[in-house]
Amino acid sequence: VTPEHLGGVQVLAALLFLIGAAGLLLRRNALLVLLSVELMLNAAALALVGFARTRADEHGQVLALLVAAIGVAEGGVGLALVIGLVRSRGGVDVQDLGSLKW
Amino acid sequence: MRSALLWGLAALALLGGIGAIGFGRRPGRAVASLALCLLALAGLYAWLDAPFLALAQLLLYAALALAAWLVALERGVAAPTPEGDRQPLLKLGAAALLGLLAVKALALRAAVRPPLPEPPAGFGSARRLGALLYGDYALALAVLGVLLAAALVSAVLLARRRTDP
Repeated sequence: VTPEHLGGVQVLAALLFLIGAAGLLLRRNALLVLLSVELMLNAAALALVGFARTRADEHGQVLALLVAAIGVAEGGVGLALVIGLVRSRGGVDVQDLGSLKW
Repeated sequence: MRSALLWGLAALALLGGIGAIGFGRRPGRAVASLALCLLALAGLYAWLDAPFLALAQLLLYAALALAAWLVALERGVAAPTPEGDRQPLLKLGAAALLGLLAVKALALRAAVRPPLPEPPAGFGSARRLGALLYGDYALALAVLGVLLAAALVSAVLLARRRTDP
Protein backbone atom coordinates (compact mmCIF):
# COMPACT_ATOMS: atom_id res chain seq x y z
CA VAL A 1 0.00 0.00 0.00
CA THR A 2 1.52 3.30 -1.12
CA PRO A 3 0.51 6.94 -0.51
CA GLU A 4 -0.60 7.08 -4.15
CA HIS A 5 -3.04 4.23 -3.54
CA LEU A 6 -4.48 5.87 -0.43
CA GLY A 7 -4.71 9.24 -2.20
CA GLY A 8 -6.61 7.48 -4.98
CA VAL A 9 -9.03 6.04 -2.40
CA GLN A 10 -9.74 9.57 -1.13
CA VAL A 11 -10.36 10.82 -4.67
CA LEU A 12 -12.71 7.87 -5.28
CA ALA A 13 -14.59 8.71 -2.05
CA ALA A 14 -14.96 12.34 -3.17
CA LEU A 15 -16.17 11.26 -6.63
CA LEU A 16 -18.77 8.89 -5.14
CA PHE A 17 -19.97 11.63 -2.79
CA LEU A 18 -20.19 13.96 -5.76
CA ILE A 19 -22.26 11.47 -7.78
CA GLY A 20 -24.57 10.97 -4.79
CA ALA A 21 -24.97 14.73 -4.30
CA ALA A 22 -25.80 15.17 -7.98
CA GLY A 23 -28.45 12.45 -7.75
CA LEU A 24 -29.89 13.95 -4.57
CA LEU A 25 -30.26 17.36 -6.17
CA LEU A 26 -31.36 16.38 -9.66
CA ARG A 27 -33.53 13.25 -9.35
CA ARG A 28 -37.28 13.40 -8.74
CA ASN A 29 -37.96 9.75 -7.96
CA ALA A 30 -37.98 9.39 -4.14
CA LEU A 31 -36.34 5.94 -4.34
CA LEU A 32 -33.45 7.32 -6.40
CA VAL A 33 -33.06 10.20 -3.94
CA LEU A 34 -32.80 7.61 -1.17
CA LEU A 35 -30.19 5.63 -3.14
CA SER A 36 -28.22 8.86 -3.64
CA VAL A 37 -28.16 9.49 0.12
CA GLU A 38 -26.91 5.93 0.68
CA LEU A 39 -24.17 6.53 -1.88
CA MET A 40 -23.08 9.70 -0.07
CA LEU A 41 -22.99 7.92 3.30
CA ASN A 42 -20.89 5.10 1.82
CA ALA A 43 -18.51 7.60 0.23
CA ALA A 44 -17.97 9.19 3.65
CA ALA A 45 -17.38 5.74 5.16
CA LEU A 46 -14.81 4.94 2.46
CA ALA A 47 -12.93 8.16 3.24
CA LEU A 48 -12.90 7.21 6.94
CA VAL A 49 -11.55 3.72 6.20
CA GLY A 50 -8.91 5.19 3.86
CA PHE A 51 -7.70 7.58 6.51
CA ALA A 52 -7.78 4.80 9.12
CA ARG A 53 -5.30 2.84 6.96
CA THR A 54 -3.23 5.95 6.26
CA ARG A 55 -2.78 6.64 9.98
CA ALA A 56 -2.81 2.94 11.01
CA ASP A 57 -5.53 3.88 13.50
CA GLU A 58 -8.70 1.78 13.81
CA HIS A 59 -10.95 4.57 15.12
CA GLY A 60 -11.80 5.43 11.51
CA GLN A 61 -13.01 1.88 10.90
CA VAL A 62 -15.24 2.00 13.99
CA LEU A 63 -16.74 5.29 12.79
CA ALA A 64 -17.31 3.75 9.34
CA LEU A 65 -19.12 0.84 11.00
CA LEU A 66 -21.36 3.26 12.90
CA VAL A 67 -22.01 5.20 9.66
CA ALA A 68 -22.99 1.96 7.87
CA ALA A 69 -25.41 1.00 10.66
CA ILE A 70 -26.99 4.47 10.64
CA GLY A 71 -27.20 4.29 6.83
CA VAL A 72 -29.05 0.98 6.96
CA ALA A 73 -31.49 2.33 9.60
CA GLU A 74 -32.10 5.42 7.48
CA GLY A 75 -32.55 3.27 4.38
CA GLY A 76 -35.12 1.06 6.10
CA VAL A 77 -37.22 4.02 7.23
CA GLY A 78 -36.79 5.65 3.82
CA LEU A 79 -38.04 2.56 2.00
CA ALA A 80 -41.06 2.41 4.31
CA LEU A 81 -41.76 6.05 3.46
CA VAL A 82 -41.51 5.28 -0.26
CA ILE A 83 -44.02 2.44 0.16
CA GLY A 84 -46.34 4.78 2.09
CA LEU A 85 -45.96 7.39 -0.63
CA VAL A 86 -46.92 4.93 -3.36
CA ARG A 87 -49.97 3.79 -1.39
CA SER A 88 -51.20 7.26 -0.48
CA ARG A 89 -50.38 9.19 -3.67
CA GLY A 90 -49.80 6.51 -6.29
CA GLY A 91 -46.39 7.89 -7.26
CA VAL A 92 -42.96 8.81 -5.95
CA ASP A 93 -42.35 12.21 -7.51
CA VAL A 94 -40.76 14.40 -4.82
CA GLN A 95 -42.01 17.54 -6.61
CA ASP A 96 -45.56 16.56 -5.61
CA LEU A 97 -44.74 16.60 -1.91
CA GLY A 98 -45.56 20.12 -0.81
CA SER A 99 -47.99 19.66 2.06
CA LEU A 100 -45.34 20.56 4.69
CA LYS A 101 -44.38 23.80 2.88
CA TRP A 102 -45.42 27.07 4.47
CA MET B 1 -1.51 -7.33 -8.74
CA ARG B 2 -2.61 -5.46 -5.60
CA SER B 3 -2.68 -2.17 -7.55
CA ALA B 4 -4.75 -3.70 -10.34
CA LEU B 5 -7.24 -5.02 -7.79
CA LEU B 6 -7.58 -1.56 -6.22
CA TRP B 7 -8.19 0.22 -9.51
CA GLY B 8 -10.53 -2.51 -10.72
CA LEU B 9 -12.64 -2.26 -7.56
CA ALA B 10 -12.57 1.54 -7.80
CA ALA B 11 -13.81 1.38 -11.40
CA LEU B 12 -16.62 -1.01 -10.37
CA ALA B 13 -17.63 1.29 -7.49
CA LEU B 14 -17.72 4.30 -9.83
CA LEU B 15 -19.72 2.42 -12.47
CA GLY B 16 -22.19 1.26 -9.83
CA GLY B 17 -22.51 4.76 -8.41
CA ILE B 18 -23.14 6.31 -11.81
CA GLY B 19 -25.68 3.59 -12.61
CA ALA B 20 -27.47 4.17 -9.29
CA ILE B 21 -28.43 7.68 -10.34
CA GLY B 22 -28.25 7.14 -14.10
CA PHE B 23 -31.07 4.61 -14.45
CA GLY B 24 -33.73 7.23 -13.74
CA ARG B 25 -36.55 5.38 -15.49
CA ARG B 26 -35.62 1.91 -14.30
CA PRO B 27 -35.40 1.92 -10.48
CA GLY B 28 -34.74 -1.85 -10.38
CA ARG B 29 -31.54 -1.40 -12.39
CA ALA B 30 -30.59 1.60 -10.25
CA VAL B 31 -30.84 -0.57 -7.12
CA ALA B 32 -28.79 -3.33 -8.80
CA SER B 33 -26.14 -0.74 -9.70
CA LEU B 34 -26.00 0.51 -6.12
CA ALA B 35 -25.63 -3.09 -4.93
CA LEU B 36 -22.65 -3.46 -7.31
CA CYS B 37 -21.14 -0.27 -5.89
CA LEU B 38 -21.62 -1.48 -2.30
CA LEU B 39 -20.06 -4.84 -3.20
CA ALA B 40 -17.04 -3.09 -4.70
CA LEU B 41 -16.78 -0.95 -1.56
CA ALA B 42 -16.73 -4.11 0.58
CA GLY B 43 -13.83 -5.33 -1.59
CA LEU B 44 -12.08 -2.00 -1.11
CA TYR B 45 -12.49 -2.28 2.68
CA ALA B 46 -10.85 -5.71 2.55
CA TRP B 47 -8.06 -4.19 0.42
CA LEU B 48 -7.60 -1.46 3.04
CA ASP B 49 -6.97 -4.04 5.81
CA ALA B 50 -10.50 -3.79 7.23
CA PRO B 51 -11.76 -7.41 6.88
CA PHE B 52 -14.38 -7.15 9.64
CA LEU B 53 -15.80 -3.97 8.14
CA ALA B 54 -15.95 -5.62 4.70
CA LEU B 55 -17.99 -8.49 6.12
CA ALA B 56 -20.24 -6.09 8.06
CA GLN B 57 -20.79 -4.05 4.90
CA LEU B 58 -21.88 -7.17 3.00
CA LEU B 59 -24.23 -8.34 5.76
CA LEU B 60 -25.76 -4.92 6.47
CA TYR B 61 -26.36 -3.84 2.92
CA ALA B 62 -27.38 -7.20 1.41
CA ALA B 63 -30.71 -7.02 3.25
CA LEU B 64 -31.20 -3.35 2.43
CA ALA B 65 -30.43 -3.87 -1.28
CA LEU B 66 -32.90 -6.75 -1.45
CA ALA B 67 -35.62 -4.70 0.25
CA ALA B 68 -34.92 -1.72 -2.04
CA TRP B 69 -35.11 -3.98 -5.09
CA LEU B 70 -38.50 -5.31 -3.97
CA VAL B 71 -39.76 -1.75 -3.44
CA ALA B 72 -38.42 -0.79 -6.88
CA LEU B 73 -40.69 -3.43 -8.42
CA GLU B 74 -43.83 -1.71 -7.04
CA ARG B 75 -45.97 -0.30 -9.83
CA GLY B 76 -45.96 3.30 -8.61
CA VAL B 77 -42.20 3.35 -8.12
CA ALA B 78 -41.32 1.86 -11.48
CA ALA B 79 -43.66 4.25 -13.33
CA PRO B 80 -41.62 6.84 -15.24
CA THR B 81 -41.12 10.10 -13.37
CA PRO B 82 -40.53 13.19 -15.51
CA GLU B 83 -36.92 14.24 -15.17
CA GLY B 84 -34.92 17.28 -16.04
CA ASP B 85 -37.25 20.09 -15.04
CA ARG B 86 -36.21 20.66 -11.46
CA GLN B 87 -35.57 24.22 -10.41
CA PRO B 88 -32.64 25.92 -12.16
CA LEU B 89 -31.34 27.10 -8.78
CA LEU B 90 -30.93 23.47 -7.75
CA LYS B 91 -28.95 22.74 -10.90
CA LEU B 92 -26.75 25.76 -10.21
CA GLY B 93 -26.23 24.54 -6.64
CA ALA B 94 -25.34 21.07 -7.94
CA ALA B 95 -22.77 22.54 -10.35
CA ALA B 96 -21.22 24.63 -7.56
CA LEU B 97 -21.07 21.58 -5.31
CA LEU B 98 -19.37 19.56 -8.05
CA GLY B 99 -16.67 22.22 -8.44
CA LEU B 100 -16.16 22.49 -4.68
CA LEU B 101 -15.85 18.73 -4.29
CA ALA B 102 -13.38 18.47 -7.18
CA VAL B 103 -11.13 20.93 -5.34
CA LYS B 104 -11.71 19.04 -2.08
CA ALA B 105 -10.76 15.75 -3.75
CA LEU B 106 -7.41 17.18 -4.81
CA ALA B 107 -6.86 18.51 -1.28
CA LEU B 108 -7.67 15.11 0.22
CA ARG B 109 -5.25 13.44 -2.17
CA ALA B 110 -2.54 15.87 -1.12
CA ALA B 111 -3.29 15.14 2.55
CA VAL B 112 -1.96 11.57 2.21
CA ARG B 113 1.81 11.95 2.51
CA PRO B 114 4.62 9.49 3.18
CA PRO B 115 5.87 7.94 5.34
CA LEU B 116 2.92 5.70 6.14
CA PRO B 117 2.96 4.06 9.58
CA GLU B 118 2.92 0.26 9.50
CA PRO B 119 -0.38 -1.12 10.88
CA PRO B 120 -0.07 -3.38 13.96
CA ALA B 121 -0.71 -7.14 13.79
CA GLY B 122 -4.41 -7.98 13.58
CA PHE B 123 -5.25 -4.48 12.31
CA GLY B 124 -8.97 -4.24 11.51
CA SER B 125 -9.81 -7.63 13.04
CA ALA B 126 -13.08 -8.29 14.89
CA ARG B 127 -11.18 -8.65 18.18
CA ARG B 128 -9.54 -5.21 17.95
CA LEU B 129 -12.67 -3.43 16.64
CA GLY B 130 -14.78 -5.16 19.32
CA ALA B 131 -12.41 -3.92 22.03
CA LEU B 132 -12.82 -0.37 20.71
CA LEU B 133 -16.60 -0.67 20.31
CA TYR B 134 -17.10 -1.95 23.85
CA GLY B 135 -14.50 0.46 25.23
CA ASP B 136 -14.23 3.98 23.82
CA TYR B 137 -17.45 3.72 21.79
CA ALA B 138 -19.71 1.94 24.31
CA LEU B 139 -22.09 4.89 24.59
CA ALA B 140 -22.26 5.32 20.79
CA LEU B 141 -22.99 1.59 20.46
CA ALA B 142 -25.83 1.80 23.01
CA VAL B 143 -27.34 4.86 21.26
CA LEU B 144 -27.02 3.04 17.94
CA GLY B 145 -28.94 0.09 19.35
CA VAL B 146 -31.79 2.40 20.39
CA LEU B 147 -31.71 4.05 16.96
CA LEU B 148 -31.91 0.70 15.16
CA ALA B 149 -34.82 -0.42 17.37
CA ALA B 150 -36.65 2.86 16.71
CA ALA B 151 -35.99 2.54 12.96
CA LEU B 152 -37.32 -1.04 12.96
CA VAL B 153 -40.55 -0.07 14.75
CA SER B 154 -41.10 3.06 12.65
CA ALA B 155 -40.45 1.21 9.37
CA VAL B 156 -43.06 -1.42 10.29
CA LEU B 157 -45.58 1.25 11.35
CA LEU B 158 -45.02 3.31 8.19
CA ALA B 159 -45.19 0.42 5.76
CA ARG B 160 -48.11 -1.52 7.19
CA ARG B 161 -51.36 -1.48 5.28
CA ARG B 162 -53.98 0.55 7.12
CA THR B 163 -57.31 -1.19 7.55
CA ASP B 164 -60.54 0.55 8.51
CA PRO B 165 -61.85 -0.49 11.95
